[in-house]
Amino acid sequence: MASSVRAVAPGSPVAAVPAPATAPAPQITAPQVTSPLVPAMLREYGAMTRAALDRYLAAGEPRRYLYDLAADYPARGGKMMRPSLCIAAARALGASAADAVGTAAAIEMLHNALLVHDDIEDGSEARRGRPTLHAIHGVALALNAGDALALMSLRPLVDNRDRLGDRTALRILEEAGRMAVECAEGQALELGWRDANVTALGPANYLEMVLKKTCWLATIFPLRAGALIASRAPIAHAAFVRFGFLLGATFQIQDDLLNLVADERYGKERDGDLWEGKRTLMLIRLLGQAPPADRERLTAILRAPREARGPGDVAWMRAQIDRHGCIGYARRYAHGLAGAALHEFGRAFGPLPDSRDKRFIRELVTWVVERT
Amino acid sequence: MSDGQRYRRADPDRDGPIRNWSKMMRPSGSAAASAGPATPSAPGHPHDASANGADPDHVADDTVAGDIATAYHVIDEHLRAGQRAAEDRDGGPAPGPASDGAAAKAPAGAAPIATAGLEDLIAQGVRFYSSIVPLWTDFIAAVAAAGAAGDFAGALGRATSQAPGRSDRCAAAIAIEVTSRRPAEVTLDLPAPAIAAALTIAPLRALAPDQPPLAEVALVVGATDGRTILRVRISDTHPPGLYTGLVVDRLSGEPRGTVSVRLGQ
Repeated sequence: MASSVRAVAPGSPVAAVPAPATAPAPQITAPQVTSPLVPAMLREYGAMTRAALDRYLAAGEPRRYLYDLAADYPARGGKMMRPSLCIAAARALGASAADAVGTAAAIEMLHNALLVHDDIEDGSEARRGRPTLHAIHGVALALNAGDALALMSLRPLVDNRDRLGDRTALRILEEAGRMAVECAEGQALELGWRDANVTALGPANYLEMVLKKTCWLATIFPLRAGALIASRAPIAHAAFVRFGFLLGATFQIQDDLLNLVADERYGKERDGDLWEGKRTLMLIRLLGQAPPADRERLTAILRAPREARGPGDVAWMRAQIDRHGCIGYARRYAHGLAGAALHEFGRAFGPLPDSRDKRFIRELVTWVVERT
Repeated sequence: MSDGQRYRRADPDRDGPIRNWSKMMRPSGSAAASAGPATPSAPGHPHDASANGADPDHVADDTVAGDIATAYHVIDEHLRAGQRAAEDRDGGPAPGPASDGAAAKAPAGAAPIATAGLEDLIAQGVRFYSSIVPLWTDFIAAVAAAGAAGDFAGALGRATSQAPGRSDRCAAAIAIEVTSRRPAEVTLDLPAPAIAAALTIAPLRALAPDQPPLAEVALVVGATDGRTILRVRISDTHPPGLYTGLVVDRLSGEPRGTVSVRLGQ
């Protein structure tokens, strides 16, 4: 089926047309440290997404038991990296921000829904500087609010039909379905490893779990959805997936590092991952480096449920992580992944014309390893 | 570009990952930024620098190379698994470079049990519940298709030549701007939707080899409204005739369509 457009110039100038924009050659240069562009665009696209969120999270009844709870985490703020990445990808590829903001809102809603559930599953106590939703309202109401938020995130994706057409809206929905399954699988791996006290893990296991649990929602889906919005066609470039994975894995390792070393701005429970026995890259490294006696003690601590773990156990694990250089190891790992992400960025976005959005996506790589 | 020369995308600056990201952050001159091609090493635990007295930077490079090799192994296996699932679902190998392993994932049990290896069976068992979501989206697709069957035929560019409807409003139209003192008929054929910002057009050529190409033909994205514009500028002295050229996807290098200009006297 050939689609065509045709125009006929009637023999006189149609208009005084400015010179066409030319695409500069792709350049890979050293990343700019502490990019001012990234925070500025996160604010700009974050505000755009929040305006859309406000429309979709409009309070109804029962407000006290459901809608206020569903709106709680989104109202606490957050980095807004996921929706911003979606909007920026769409714009870098030629779409308008208005085309992408609904999908961006859906991403943020689903992200917050999963945070509610994750906090319950992990027994977490703090989120974005305040007590977790289940700590305030109890598990039952929080779980229900998380369910509602996840289901409400479908609404903007369905509404995409009006702006993007049925076909593109359905493709984004299919991608969202795939992404949701990957998230669930990644979360299942992480929870299952803790439940069964799996300790025979290596970096490849960690990366596979992170690819599913983190990368699909945080980076791969936003990038692919943005490209879908711009192209209205299936995306056949593995470079988007590779870039998304490497960026997302860098982000997750840095997130895990912050859990151990961040200051009070971090907003989550300090050493919470150790309390929860999460298989972070640092813990996996420690399991591989510790001498047999220490490894046995570590395995025993991890076998115990969270409530049976004491401050002394967590302090001992934290000291072992320092002793075996696991923090430095994870930092090097994150930097290596960031370098690879920059390489894949060149492949995925390099041929595109220069734009503020393209620069934003590239500088995100630097930002994720610099953030505190 | 001279006659007969193939149109091809520019080679990337590098063909391997930047190995030592942290060195890139140092002031120039303090250390050479390593951006050379990868030297893949077997995935595994990093070396112990103190054990062999090796240069720490060198060992760190080796360690990072191993880490990156592991990461690429993980993502490449993920992409291959997606492609295998797509092939199983569609009943045959997916077409080469256009296929995307990340784009499809079959519900559990899609592969014939007789041909599935033990690992595949285990993986399918783990992913059993994943069939729920594809089924759900299939249902949505069926409902939408039943309600608006005609919308699925819509494609980029058709909107300008069709009666307005919902899909017409939604399709991304391409405007054509022609600057010419003589009659010029411009035709753009795009068989499938494509990322407008990633499209580029090779100079349009006439059949007669001595006629100069039409070089001022470009697809641009409007700065304010994001609209895609095919911009054609023809000089007053350009010989009349039929000129044709390829629309090429800069991301993949694949041809996406054609542009032709029939220039009158």
